[in-house]
Amino acid sequence: MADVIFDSSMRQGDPSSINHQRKILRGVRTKRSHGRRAQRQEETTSVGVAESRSQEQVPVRADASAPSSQDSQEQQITTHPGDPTPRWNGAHRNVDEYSDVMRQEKSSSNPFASYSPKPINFRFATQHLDEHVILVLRKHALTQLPWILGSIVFAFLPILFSSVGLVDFLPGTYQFAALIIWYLLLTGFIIESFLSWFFNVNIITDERIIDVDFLSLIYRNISSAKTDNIEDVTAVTSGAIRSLFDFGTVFVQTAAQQREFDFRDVPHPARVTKLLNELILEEEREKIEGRIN
Amino acid sequence: MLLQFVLDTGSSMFAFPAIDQSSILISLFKFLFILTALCYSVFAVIVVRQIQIMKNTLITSFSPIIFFVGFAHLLVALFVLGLFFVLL
Repeated sequence: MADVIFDSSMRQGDPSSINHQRKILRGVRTKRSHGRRAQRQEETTSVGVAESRSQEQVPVRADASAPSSQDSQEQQITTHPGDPTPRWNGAHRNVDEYSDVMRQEKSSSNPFASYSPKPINFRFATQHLDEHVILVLRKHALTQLPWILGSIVFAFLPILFSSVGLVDFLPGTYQFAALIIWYLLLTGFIIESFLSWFFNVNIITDERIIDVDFLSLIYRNISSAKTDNIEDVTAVTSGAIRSLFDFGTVFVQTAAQQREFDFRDVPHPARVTKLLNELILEEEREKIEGRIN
Repeated sequence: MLLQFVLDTGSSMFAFPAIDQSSILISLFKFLFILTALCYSVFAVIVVRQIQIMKNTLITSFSPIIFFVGFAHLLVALFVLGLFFVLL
């Protein structure tokens, strides 16, 4: 039981998860202290009273094997020898057990990644307690090139203006003020563009897909659909640049209120499609095997 | 033409005090700069508010840093507004 592993799937920073981990740790410590106590008793008692020693150990073992809440929580996460990946013995299996795509991917800790499998330190507001984020998608970094290049060009434009003498009719203080306004507006543009990219994400969990649209500072839309509502998944990669850098749009038709989800310009659309198909299959398998909560 | 007539005090039959055309232009620029800085400060407040909302929607390791950047951006915007009031 000492080889209980806490990883990203337990959602670090989540108060409920932390409490959960504390409970498990408390359970492990209690067992260890019971074990040590039993060992001490074993050392102090003579060999001749082996029967009484074994009787003393019975309550300890009985405690350990009692179906307490700590134990039941502990049993949910187990590890296999040689495989550090924790296995969830409850309703949901670990994604690595049923997904070929995710088995080949390593956990990502980069918060700026466009394709972030099994992300570490990532949660979202409406995440359920037993829900695990499998994949986080953003627009491919190449799609952000226009505003980045535009910003660089705009950053150098005042030099051009001053060389031409465009604002020479203004006093020096006002020229300085104009320069500050220019760079302030440019900063605002950069911040707004970055936030639109950073917070515009598509999340795939083991239960549902979530589309967070942060198109501008005044428009925000969050929609989700359960995996078993997914009806059709299509990946579209069009154009030379998209084919070359392997990014495209994944269209997901659902039976939910929002009929279609589109993951625009996400990296590895074929992999995403395959993963979604694996999730649909797993969902159906859960239904058949009666592993639904 | 009308503006020129209005500003040209020499041609006026009324005895207005002399108004410098460039000072009106400067005042106009001053008004525009302060208005822009004011609007930008409002924009910076909206940015901070949106970051706060999105930080709670998507919890990542980078979210606190973004919030800090947004807050610093707001402070800079307010500083510029204050600077324009003093400088211009």
